[in-house]
Amino acid sequence: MSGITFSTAMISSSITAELGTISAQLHEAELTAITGLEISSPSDAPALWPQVDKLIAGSSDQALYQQNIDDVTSLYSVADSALDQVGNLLTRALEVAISMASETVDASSRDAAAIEIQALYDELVGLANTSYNDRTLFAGTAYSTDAYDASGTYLGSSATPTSVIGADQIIDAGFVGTDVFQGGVDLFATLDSFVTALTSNDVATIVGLTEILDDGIEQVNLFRSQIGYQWNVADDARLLSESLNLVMSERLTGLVAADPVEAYTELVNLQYTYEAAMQVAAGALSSSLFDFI
Amino acid sequence: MASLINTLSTGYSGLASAKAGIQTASHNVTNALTDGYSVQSVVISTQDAVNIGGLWVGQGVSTDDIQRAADSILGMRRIEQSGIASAADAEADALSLAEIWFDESQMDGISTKLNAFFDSLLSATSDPSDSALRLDVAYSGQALADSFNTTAQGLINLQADLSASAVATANEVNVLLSEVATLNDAIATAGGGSSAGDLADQRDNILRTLGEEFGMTATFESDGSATVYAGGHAVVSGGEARELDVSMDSTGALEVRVSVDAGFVDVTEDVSGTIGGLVAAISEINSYIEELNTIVQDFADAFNAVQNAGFDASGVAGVDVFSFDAATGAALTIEFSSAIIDDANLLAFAGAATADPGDSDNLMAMLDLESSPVVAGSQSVVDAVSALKSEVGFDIAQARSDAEAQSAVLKDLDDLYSSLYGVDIDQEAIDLITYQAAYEAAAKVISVVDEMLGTLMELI
Repeated sequence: MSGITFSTAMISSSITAELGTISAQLHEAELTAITGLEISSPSDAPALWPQVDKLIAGSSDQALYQQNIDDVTSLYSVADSALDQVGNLLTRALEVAISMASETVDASSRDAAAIEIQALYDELVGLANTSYNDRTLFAGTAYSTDAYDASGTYLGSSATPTSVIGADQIIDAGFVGTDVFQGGVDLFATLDSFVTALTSNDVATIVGLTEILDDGIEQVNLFRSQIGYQWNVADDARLLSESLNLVMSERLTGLVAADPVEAYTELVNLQYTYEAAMQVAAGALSSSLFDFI
Repeated sequence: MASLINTLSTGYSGLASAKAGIQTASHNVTNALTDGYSVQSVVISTQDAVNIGGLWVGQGVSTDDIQRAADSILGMRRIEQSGIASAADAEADALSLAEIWFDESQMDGISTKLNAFFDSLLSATSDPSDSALRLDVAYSGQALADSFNTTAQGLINLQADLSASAVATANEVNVLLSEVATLNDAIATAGGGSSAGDLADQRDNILRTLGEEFGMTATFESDGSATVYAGGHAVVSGGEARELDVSMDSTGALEVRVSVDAGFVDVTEDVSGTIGGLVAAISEINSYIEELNTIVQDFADAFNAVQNAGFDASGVAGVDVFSFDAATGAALTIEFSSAIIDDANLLAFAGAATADPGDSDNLMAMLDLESSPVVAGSQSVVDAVSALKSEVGFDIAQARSDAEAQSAVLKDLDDLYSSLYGVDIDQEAIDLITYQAAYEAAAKVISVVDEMLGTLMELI
């Protein structure tokens, strides 16, 4: 007789091997269905792992960028509100200057106005020392102390604190007071001169100060627009970060997560296959010529 | 003319031959599932005819031998392949254990800790003076150092476990080598017949196990004994066996040696089987540890350099954040400064000595290290860790794929061997029927002769 002979041991070992293969596949499918993960360790997809790591790290970074963005936009809101009040304060000072520049105003009226301007000066010092979360907004990087003392002397630093709001994207997270209050126009010196001019009944100086106050208002408004610009940059960064986070999460899910329907179908199919294989194995192992003789 | 009495002898030879056939078939059936059993068959021949009265009269059948079906070339090929397949299996299993230390599914792997550390630095940029944020950086740094320690220690322990397993396997191998030597003697003494066949099966089974355990080769001598070789050196020759010695050298690599007259010969490069797989796996794990050491050392040095260039919250130049003992292993020994854990203000986030709380210039430089090519001057620490994990993953996937392929080849060889020399129960059933019929026929001959003798007796 020629051809292949199927020895009993060969049939037995083949059946054992086949059942082992299906059993291993079934175990994998059960694991996938339970964890919901197609890739759970580096050997599952070695080439993809650096990408998975980058997506996990990137997604985590985006969450922190958004936290920093929330923080700086809140800070901008407080700073803008303070500068709005500074603008109002200067506008009021300008109104007083215009009215006090008139030759018809007497010295006692100017003395009374001087008291109001002094109050505005004090208010300006207060606004210049505005803080958010215990950080003085206009003290630069030295934000744990006041930006200005009562005499209008700058106590802060000339460096601007920053915050990271995106990959290689840094934004101001505080301001240098001298840029805001002592840029082209020294607001403290201006109000101080104004008080002196009022008490000394110096009309010429008062007239001269109206123009300076006007420039001061413009200076503050200009700074507010700079804050507004940074605010927009932060908002754009937030949109980008949210979008990137979504894309990264989707890509990560696409890479590591198993399709639940596919995983369940695979599991059920393998369960049927395993049961069928067991029945075939039982039949194959029990078939023998000895049964018939 | 042949006598009736002589015919009885002829009939008896048929009975004896049929009984040997039935006995052999039943031996085959009962060993149908015995590992390594080769089917046996009865070798018969015609007994020499005798010249009686000028006629050559047949004398029946001679039962010469019970032969074991075997093919030493195919058998040896199976043994070699079992060594290759076992090596691939052992390597894949061992590397799978190494993968546990690079698994991030429980969120406590190196990458997770590395991310957490750089995330803490990123958070600190929102307020470098915030003591809670500074402390978070310190604790994250400590957790990162712990993670490197744990991974390195885990890999070192795994190497030790695998080495112990290789030593235990070598001890088993030495016992088996002695058994082969003993069986060699017994086979040579038995000379042939079913006893020698069963001894050869038993010996070949042990050779198969030896193949699986250290991937030896063997040649078969004319007296039936096997000479077993490891890396070209005979470890069993006739009734003599030598010893296999496995030990870990100072570099953590496994060394496999065979005892020879003058001492030991290194056969590390030549062994396969489980021991060979463990040698390969331990060597790969050693390379992972070395790569991890390079990553840790380069990262720690780079981070310390940035920290040293900056100033702490008091405006003092930064002190080292990480320390390690390169000789013992950077990954195993890296530590985060306990002084900084006690006082996180020592973190040198500032770029100037002015002690400005919002000065984050150096903090930004620290953050840049996440993507700077600090490891071997070409990779960021994050990428280097990812690449190492990827390398481990590739090695395991490759080892599993090899193991699968080599097991498939082995199964094909086993199937071929089993097909050629295994027991087919159906065939044995037919043999039984045939031998039974032969027995009945021979018995009938005797019965006929008996009747003839009876008839003859009645005539007297």
